[in-house]
Parts: sequence; C-alpha cells; structure tokens
Amino acid sequence: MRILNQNSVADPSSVVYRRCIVDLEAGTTTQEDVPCRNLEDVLGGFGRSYQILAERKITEAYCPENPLILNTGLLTGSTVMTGLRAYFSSYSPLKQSRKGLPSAMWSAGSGNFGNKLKWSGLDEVIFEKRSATPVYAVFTEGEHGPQIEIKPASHLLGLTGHEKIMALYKEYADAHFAVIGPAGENFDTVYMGAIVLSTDNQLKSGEGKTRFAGRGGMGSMMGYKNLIAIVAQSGDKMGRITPDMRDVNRDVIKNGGSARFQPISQGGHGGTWANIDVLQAFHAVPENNFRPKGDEDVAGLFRPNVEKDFDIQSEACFRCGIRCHNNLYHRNADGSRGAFAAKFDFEPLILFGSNIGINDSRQVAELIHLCDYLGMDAISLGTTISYVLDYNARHPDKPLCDGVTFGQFDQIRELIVKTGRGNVSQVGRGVKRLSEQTGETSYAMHVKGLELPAYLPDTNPAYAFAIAGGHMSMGTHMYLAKEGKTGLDDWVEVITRQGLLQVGYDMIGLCKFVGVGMGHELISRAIGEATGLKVSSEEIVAAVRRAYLRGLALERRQGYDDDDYTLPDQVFESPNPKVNLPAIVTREFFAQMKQRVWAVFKPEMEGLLPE
Amino acid sequence: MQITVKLYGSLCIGRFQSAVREYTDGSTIQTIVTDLGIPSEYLIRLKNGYHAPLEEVLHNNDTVSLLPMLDGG
Ligand code: SF4
Repeated sequence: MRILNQNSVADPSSVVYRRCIVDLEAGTTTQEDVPCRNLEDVLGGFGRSYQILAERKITEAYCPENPLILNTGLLTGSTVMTGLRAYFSSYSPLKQSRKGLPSAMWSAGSGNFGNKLKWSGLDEVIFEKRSATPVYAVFTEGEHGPQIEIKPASHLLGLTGHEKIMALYKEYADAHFAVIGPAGENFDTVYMGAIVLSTDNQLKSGEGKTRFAGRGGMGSMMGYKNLIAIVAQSGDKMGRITPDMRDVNRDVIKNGGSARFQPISQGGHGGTWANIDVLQAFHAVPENNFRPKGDEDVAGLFRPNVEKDFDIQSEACFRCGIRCHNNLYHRNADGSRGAFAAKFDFEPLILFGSNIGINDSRQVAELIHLCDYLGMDAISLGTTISYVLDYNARHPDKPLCDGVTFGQFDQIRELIVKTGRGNVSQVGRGVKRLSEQTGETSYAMHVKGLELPAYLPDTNPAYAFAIAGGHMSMGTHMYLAKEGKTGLDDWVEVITRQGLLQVGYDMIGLCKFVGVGMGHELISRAIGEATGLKVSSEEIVAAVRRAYLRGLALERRQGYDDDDYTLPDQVFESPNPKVNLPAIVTREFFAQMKQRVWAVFKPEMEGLLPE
Repeated sequence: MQITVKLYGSLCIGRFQSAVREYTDGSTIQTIVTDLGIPSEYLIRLKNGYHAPLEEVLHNNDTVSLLPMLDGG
C-alpha cells in the first residue's frame, strides 16, 4: 500500500493498494495498483471487499463469477499489536436468504499469514473462476514486486489442514499458509468449510495450533475453486517500533478491554473461556441445543476442573502480548507436559461440550481437535450437530444420522469425522437447510442462515442485525448479562450505535481483543503512528458505519426481506424459565425493536450500493 | 451490617467464592469493590440478583455478586 498524501479522508485516491487478480481457470495472474475510493477502502478488510462483491450479481455461491477475495487491513503487518488479520470474502455457500440467494460474507483470521501476504507486496488477491485441477497459489516477495505462481496441489489432497501446512512448510521455510481441510475439499456436501491459517507456534512445534477464518464457508469456496492452499512468502518486515508506537502498544496491553483476554497469571481473566463462569451465574450457558437446564452440569468445563486433567498454557499469535490462547496439553504419566490437545475458547468449548450434552473436558478437547483438523467452522458444525441431537431426542422413532443424541461421545465423534470427510451432507450443509428438510425449524439455531455462536438468542435479539455471524458482527451478545438492560430504547441504541461498530476490527487489521470501541482515540492514534495517516475517531466511526450498512444493504439485495430478520421461533414460543436473566424477547418487543432499528438504518443505507 | 459477597471466575483467585462480610451502614457496591482490591471497570455487579451501579447503597443481608465483564470473539 502506498500513501501519497496523508490526508486520506479528503483524498482517499492518494492511498493506493496493490491488487493481484488470479484467473484460476486460465492459470494467469495480473497485478495492478488501485486507488482507494473512500475511507472504507483505505481501512481495508470487508470494508473494501464488500464494495467489490456489491459490483457483482451472484445468484449461487458455487459459480465461476463468484470471486474469493483475500485481503488485509490497514494495520495488518504493522507494528501495532495484534495487527495480523487476513480476511476472506465471497458470496457464501452457507448463508443464504429465504429466497435462496447467497449472502455476502467475510471471515477473519489471525496467525502470521496476513503479515506475510502484506510483506510480499500485496494488499489484495481476487481469485476468479475455478481451476480444473487442484492447485495452490504462491505469493512471494520478489526483487521487482510480488511474484505469483500457481502450482499443482494433488499431493495435498486428503490431508488435514494441519498436515497440509506442515507439508508446505517443508518447501517454503519463511512462509505462512492458508489451507483447507478435507471439509473444504468436499465443498459439495460441506458448506461450512473453514480456512486454516498457520501460526509460528505451529510451525516451530509441529503441533496443530492453527487459526481459522471459519465463518460462512470460505474454506468451501476455496474448495469449489480447487484452490487447496495459499502460500505467502516473505522476510520478516516488521518495522522499527518508535517510542510513540511503544506507547500505543503499551496502551493496547494496559487498557482494561484487552486485559480481560489476557492470562490470569498476567492479571487478566483468561480469555473467552472465562465467559462460562459469568454466564453460568445466570444459567445462560447453552446446554442441549441452547436450552440451559438450570443445573450445574457445565461445571466440568470450568477452568479449575479442566486443570485437573490438562496442563494449560497461555500462548499467542505472532508477537502479541495479549496472549489470549488457552492451549491445553495432555499430562504424561510422570506429570510432565505431554502432547498438545486443543485450544479452549468459549465457543468451541460450549458447542462441542455442554450444548451437545458433553461436560468431560477430555472428550470436548478431542472433538474440538477433530473439527479443527478436518477444517470446519466450529460454530456451524457444533450448532448443526446440536440440532440433530435435539431432533433425535424428540423423534427416537424416525431419527437422523443413526439416532445419535445428547452426550453420546463416540457417535458424535464419528458423525464429525464423516461430516468432515464429506459423507453427511445433512450436517455439512448447515442447520437451516437441515431443518427445512425435517420441517422442524423452530429450534434450528441460526439467524439468516448462519448458525448461532454460544450465546443464547433468548438474551440477544440483536442477532437479527448481525451481518456476518452473530457475535462477530454485532457486539451485543453479552449486553443483557453485562448491563442488565431490558428497555427498547437501550436495545435500539446499542444496535444502532455501539453494536455495529464491532465490525470495524474486520476492516483495520487488528484483533477484537484490543477491547476498545472503534471511536477510542487509541485506534486513531495507532493508525497515525503506523501509517502517518491523519484520520479522526469520528471519521473512523463514520466509515465503519457505512461499511456495516453497506453489508446490510447487500443482504437486502440478496433477497433478505423482513421475515429473514428474526430469531428461532422457540425463543418466542417457549421462553426458558431456567435462565436467570430477564426474558425480554417477546414477539412484540422484537417487532418494535426491528421497526425502530430499520427507521434509523434504512435512510442511511440509500445509495451505498452501486446501481 | 452483613453482606453476602459472591465472586466469580478469576475474581475468586486469592480471595473467596462466597463470604458473609461486615460493612458499615451506608456502604455501597463500590465500598466492597475497593475493599477487595478489584478494579471497578469491566465488572458486572449484581445486588440480590439484579444489575446495579457501583453507587448502589446496600442494606443488611443483601447479596452482592461481582463477575468479570468479558466478551466473545
Ligand atoms: S489477541 Fe489473541 S487472537 Fe488476537 S492476535 Fe493476540 S493472541 Fe492472537
């Protein structure tokens, strides 16, 4: 990215980014410098990719015209702590409107891949069409700019995501990797394939400590394109850390927002895992398909109990001081640390744990590990499986998937393996399609075709306004538990002001665990220090808001109508008395909330899409 | 007056999970937070099961629950 004038707001075209277009069908590549059209382009990530997607009319995800866009954010590859993000955007095979049109989606991942891509000299890659044979793409920093090669990838087929990365690492020592697992290869039957990203820790240790761009089936899109892996190769170009940047990074670490995700030994709360303690205080931890039982069964997944079986180590992505990863290691017979078992974050822990009736941490670790190796989105898979188990508990006489139900570890394990290998399309295509087949949609936990994360819809009516995953693109999933706010005004305000700004992190290249709002001076200061660009907090907030609203407008264009903006019927029809939080989500509340939110959003959405 | 204080998650470490403690009349949730050396930002505070501000005045036999305010991602 070249910045010709530091006043990017007045003149965004003075910021020029480097794009590569890969025509997978022809095996050709072209590169161009593209001037930014607006501040969303400058900030990057989905703020830019959605403008490209909006230029195309796509009616089915698996078609040659649907591009897969890989890009980075303005601060990816910079010295700002957590500036590592890579983004993948496309029309999703998984998320679709009731009219059957695919929704635009993006998915973000950390690791060191985004840095390497940027340091190779590229800000964006658009993969067009599809290759007739399996290939991988290599982007290398060359003497006169980025070099690109498209190479045969048949030798990688069938390997897990981790195995593919380690195989490529033997050939490309100073590179990082984005690959698909077996799930992505089986894109026809698995729409929830994730993109698996390498980490330094993984490459050094040989253990499967990968990161994921999981949501929306971007790995399945890679599979459809016959693009098995992407290699980004360059030297380490992390710039010099100036005294002012040191201050920025110190403030990233010291602010209370990020401290929440830091290790307990560092004075933090120990990452998202700790949400289980908080939500269990309200009996709001999902159990048995998002239906808390009001008991203490989930206690087996509390950290002190897990520590009895595993060694837990706080680890991090490349040079990140937040160190939010809680990596679990088996313990050898002599008490020493054994092999890596799994990474415990709140979502996979719950969705492969209490939400499918399993509260033994060893079993949960195994299921998480399997899902990761096969390269599926843990949220989509876990939530679809919990539906299957719930359906079977209700219909023992005509069950799905051999009748597996809650708590049956061995059968669930087998179901995950079969799904990841492409043999159970009922699960692999997600809960929306499955529930439409069975005719029982009320307890299918998705909103707008995308499976819900491990926060109850009963406590978050704003899921309806998340544009790319319930908790990644609308920061309200803990609002009721955190603030206890039940008023309509509060919810309209939080959705239309703070909640939507969550997506800003998926533009600028930083991780959400920096923990401050987009309007915080720290963000503007970080951009200024890393790039020299003068962008005020107000300008950042306005650009993020436009990007979010463009995403919402794009949903409408893809056929989403008012009926799509809803929650699973069970939430309205059968409030769960076991949850110790106010039952705010009635049909009346929800209808009024929607009406008032649209009244704010709709006028602002005008003109955000090309004609 | 006697207040039952319940702590959750990492807030228990080096403290306790649940304890009945003596506070003077007029004490608030802030009094307890300060007494226990807990940073007052990013904290969920409940009085008798309901969300309450730091300035909430307490009465004998109240229960105060303090939880770390986390987030997803
Ligand atoms: S906060 Fe966590 S996920 Fe984000 S960059 Fe740091 S270690 Fe990685």
